[in-house]
Amino acid sequence: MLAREQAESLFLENLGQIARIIAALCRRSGIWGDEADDFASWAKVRLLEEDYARIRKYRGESSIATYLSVVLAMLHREYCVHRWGRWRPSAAAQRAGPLAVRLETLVRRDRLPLLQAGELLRTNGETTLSDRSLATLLASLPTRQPLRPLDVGDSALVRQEAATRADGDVDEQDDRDERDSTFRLLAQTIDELPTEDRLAIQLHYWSEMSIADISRTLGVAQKPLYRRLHRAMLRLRKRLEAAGVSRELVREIAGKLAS
Amino acid sequence: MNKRTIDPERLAAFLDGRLDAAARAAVVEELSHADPETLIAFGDAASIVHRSAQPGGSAWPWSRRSVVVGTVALAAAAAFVAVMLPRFLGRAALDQDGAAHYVTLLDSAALAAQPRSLLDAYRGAGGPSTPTRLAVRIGVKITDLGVAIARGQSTASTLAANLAVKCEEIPGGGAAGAAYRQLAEALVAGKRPDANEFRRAAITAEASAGESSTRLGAWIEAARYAAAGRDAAFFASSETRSMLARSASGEGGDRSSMTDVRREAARRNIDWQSLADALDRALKELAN
Repeated sequence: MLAREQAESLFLENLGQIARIIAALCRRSGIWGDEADDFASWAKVRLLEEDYARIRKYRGESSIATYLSVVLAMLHREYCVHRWGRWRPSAAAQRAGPLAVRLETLVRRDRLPLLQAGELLRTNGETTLSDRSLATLLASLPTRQPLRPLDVGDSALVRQEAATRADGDVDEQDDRDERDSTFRLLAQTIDELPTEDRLAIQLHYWSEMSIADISRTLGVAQKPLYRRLHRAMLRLRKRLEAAGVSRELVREIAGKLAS
Repeated sequence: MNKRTIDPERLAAFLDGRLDAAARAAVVEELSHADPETLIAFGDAASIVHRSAQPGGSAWPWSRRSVVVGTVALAAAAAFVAVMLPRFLGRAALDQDGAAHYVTLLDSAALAAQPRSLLDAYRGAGGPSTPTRLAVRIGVKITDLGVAIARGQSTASTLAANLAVKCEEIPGGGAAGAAYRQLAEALVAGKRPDANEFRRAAITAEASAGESSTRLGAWIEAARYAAAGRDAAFFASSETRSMLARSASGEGGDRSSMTDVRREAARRNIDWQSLADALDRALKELAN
């Protein structure tokens, strides 16, 4: 473990890098202005605490920039989950740019009416778009139901809350039962996949990474990865259909995993 | 759900491509059983690392999107750059020095100048202290300490001790308090702290007090010295332009407090008395 003085030097030498990483993380999660400053302060205090404990654990097996990226990304998730639960901007919003991320954050996470969100964005100088244009932008972003995690063995899966139905309590219970058993079957099937395929599906689903990014991260060629994931998806679909899961639910789950 | 914690450095080495095949396979296996939050964090880190590795790369994935084609769009981009560039230029040095940076911009006349005393402004005469007001006051004292050290004044040790007390009022401010107590002890012993010690203490203080407000306080106090010493270069610096631009968006302080300051500082021929008055008013509003 590094000595305190060495860790302190690394911290001071890399302050610029730390600031850049924090800024990038805030942009990815739609955190802005005072909220971003709060996170920046919180993260730096975490790096300083216990005599720079997190930096003293650095062993030189990676570049310091990448090490700090991983440490700060983990702190960032801890902060976001504590503040806002498991919400995060959609991949579609991130691809569309910072305005889309901000709009989605204000309307979907913070539940501001669109008009109010538009007013706030224009007042802050983040956009000059009209409410109509912002509505068009928002409509292009996916509507996601609130998520609740389902512990099933080792695979992390999420059970999507069913949309509200007008049917009675019995039908609702049947629905929930079907979804629960379906997700258990899904988790079991995913657990049976080869390790790399399993991780690729989880990164695609949880981190909303593109196949290109996953192939770069895992160091595998993109085209073969596409084919492997396509085969894995077919396998999942066949298992679900063989178990008698309704077509609607299969489509919903497969669509989510394939998006 | 598996809640095993994966060693961050192993993940970092994985992203850097520094692991052999067996070690990579082990990390893939661990990640495939990791909880969702670990996977999301890993994805975020991977995205940042990949983008910084791209040619001309930066950790700012959307920087290219601000460059658009077309006459009107080019003009819009030029206007955008004219507004945003000072913010980025000032940012690099600030990130290294934190709130300690502004005192380094003062020329010798400014360092020797004496702004009007506003003791009431930051002795809480106006009422209970909010976190923002406390952070602004801490920033003010950081600049005062820097000036006192530069002048070799004996009051520097008292200023450092006062800063320690102020920092310890903040949750998580223990480290900053300890840093300023160390500075105070060194000053009492007749040792002049070096720039690194001063920087380190300031960075630690603003981390717990809040970066924006602390830096705003530090800047305003430095600007008061600069106005008293008629230091035009201070107000022309990229750091000052960056701070004034941030204050226009309301970051770190009340937007209205800084309106007069921005107007006075932007004049071609600065009216030093008007600027000093505007800075005093801003500080009273923000720190009180």
